[in-house]
Amino acid sequence: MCGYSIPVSGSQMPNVINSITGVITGAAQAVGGGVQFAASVGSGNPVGMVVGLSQAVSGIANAASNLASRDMHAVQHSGLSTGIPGWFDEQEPYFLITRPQLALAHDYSGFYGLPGYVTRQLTRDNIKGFTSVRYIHLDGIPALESELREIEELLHNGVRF
Amino acid sequence: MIITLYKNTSEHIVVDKSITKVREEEGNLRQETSLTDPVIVFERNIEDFTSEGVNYLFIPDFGNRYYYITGMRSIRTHLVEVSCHVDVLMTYRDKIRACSAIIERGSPLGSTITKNDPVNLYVPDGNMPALQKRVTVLKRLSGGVKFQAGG
Repeated sequence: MCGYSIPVSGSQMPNVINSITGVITGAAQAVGGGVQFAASVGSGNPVGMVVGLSQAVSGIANAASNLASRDMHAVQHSGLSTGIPGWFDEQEPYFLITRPQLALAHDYSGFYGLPGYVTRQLTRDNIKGFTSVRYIHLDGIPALESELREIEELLHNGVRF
Repeated sequence: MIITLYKNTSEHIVVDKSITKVREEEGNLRQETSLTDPVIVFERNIEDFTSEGVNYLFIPDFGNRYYYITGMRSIRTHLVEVSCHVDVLMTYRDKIRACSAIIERGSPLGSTITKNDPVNLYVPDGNMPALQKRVTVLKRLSGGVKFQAGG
């Protein structure tokens, strides 16, 4: 799981445009509030002064917020936190891998072996410990037919070399 | 005919048995018997076998075959009947080792698994138990640079 989405396509551009628009709107709102405040002071209207001042402050706050978040919208951060709080998280990519754990008893392979499905000559250099054989050609063994069948059955069920 | 008596301490499925020689017996067969499941009468007391833990024997005249002792019966004083079954793994161990096979389950040659081992843990195997609890590990990507925003 990678923690970042890099803006390599045009799909991120609307975020940037929205931020710029938000800055302009906030600035206009602040100017309007300022004008109303000044007019209210001139006319001696206390209610107009409060409303105008409130709009001016709100407009400045909106403009500042959109300006501050303009760049951050371009890179998205996934994980437990997103957006601006995500910038306080880890800045380097990493993988979180969730996997099952084997519950093998001590010397499991000695008792039952591990999966193989490989072809080997059954020499001392190649084979050791518990081994079960899927297929074998018992060539060159001067044994009776019943003995060959027993050898094959034993090898199939598993022997210890 | 010479019969060598052994004490075997290995289990049935071991190819190279761990055997200790007890003694040799010499005599003649006086009745017909099987090659794979011979029944041999010894002029011995049964205690001569049990006291020394004899449970295995080797008969060179039977094609150098090794035999498990599967049963003993005391016929009368100084006469015991021993039933045997051929140990095909020990008898043909060198010939078996010369054969190639597809290994279904194997064991690592050393303490850790290497590519030379007849083991492949990527093969799906429903016999290997897993814990109910899963483990989550964090792996960092090393060697890169930090991401830069807006740049």
